[in-house]
Amino acid sequence: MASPAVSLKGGLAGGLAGLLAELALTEITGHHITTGLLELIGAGVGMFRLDRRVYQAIRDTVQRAQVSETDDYRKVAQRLDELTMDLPELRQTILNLVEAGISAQKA
Amino acid sequence: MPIGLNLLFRLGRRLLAAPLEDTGWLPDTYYSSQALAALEEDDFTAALRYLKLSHNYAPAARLVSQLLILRCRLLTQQHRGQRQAMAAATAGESNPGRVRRYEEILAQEDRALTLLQGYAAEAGAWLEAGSRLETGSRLEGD
Repeated sequence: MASPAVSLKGGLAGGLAGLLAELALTEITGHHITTGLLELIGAGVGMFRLDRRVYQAIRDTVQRAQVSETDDYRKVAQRLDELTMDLPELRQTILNLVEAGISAQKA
Repeated sequence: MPIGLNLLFRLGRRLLAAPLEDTGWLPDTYYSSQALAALEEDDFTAALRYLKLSHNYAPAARLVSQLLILRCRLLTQQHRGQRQAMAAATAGESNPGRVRRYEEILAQEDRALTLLQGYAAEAGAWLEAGSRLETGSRLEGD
């Protein structure tokens, strides 16, 4: 298979042209076009990956619940258990996560 | 072509998404996604705003709301610990300058605790409203 032709000069010229176009459009319209586009793409992608993002956010929160370095998963699980008494859906998801963590710690 | 697309996207967001956001007409996934993005940045006010705009109480939105409550509770615990330590330091301090500084920090900790409890209460009220609605529609169905 032939290797793709890469042109550094072409890349630089393209980047510069893009930057100039963005600056010109910002000047003319008063809007940050690229930022808007990225925002829109981000929101769109975020909508499609919502379940995975929620799961990731829950994982981050479980990690935040670890107060000290010596805390093991059981302590964290107990703390989370107390704090999520009235939050049924989240409680179940966290329980699954913590159980997976305990199994990983045992292994 | 790319410039045209850029303008279209930007205009789409400016003209459609932003004004429509407040109407609550956009899909629930959009509001849940935006609420989660705000929560990821610890912007509880924005997260609550998006959650309240989502009227259908979708499972993802409920989960985000419960996550917001949990984060607030964890932060509340953390601030309570800091407040306790600061109160102990203030009690043992004789230097008036330091005491004043510690008292300022204590006031900030109190403010943080009030805000966090407020966010958690708002999210709790939203969840409860969703549960009431669900129970009501279930009873109507029976």
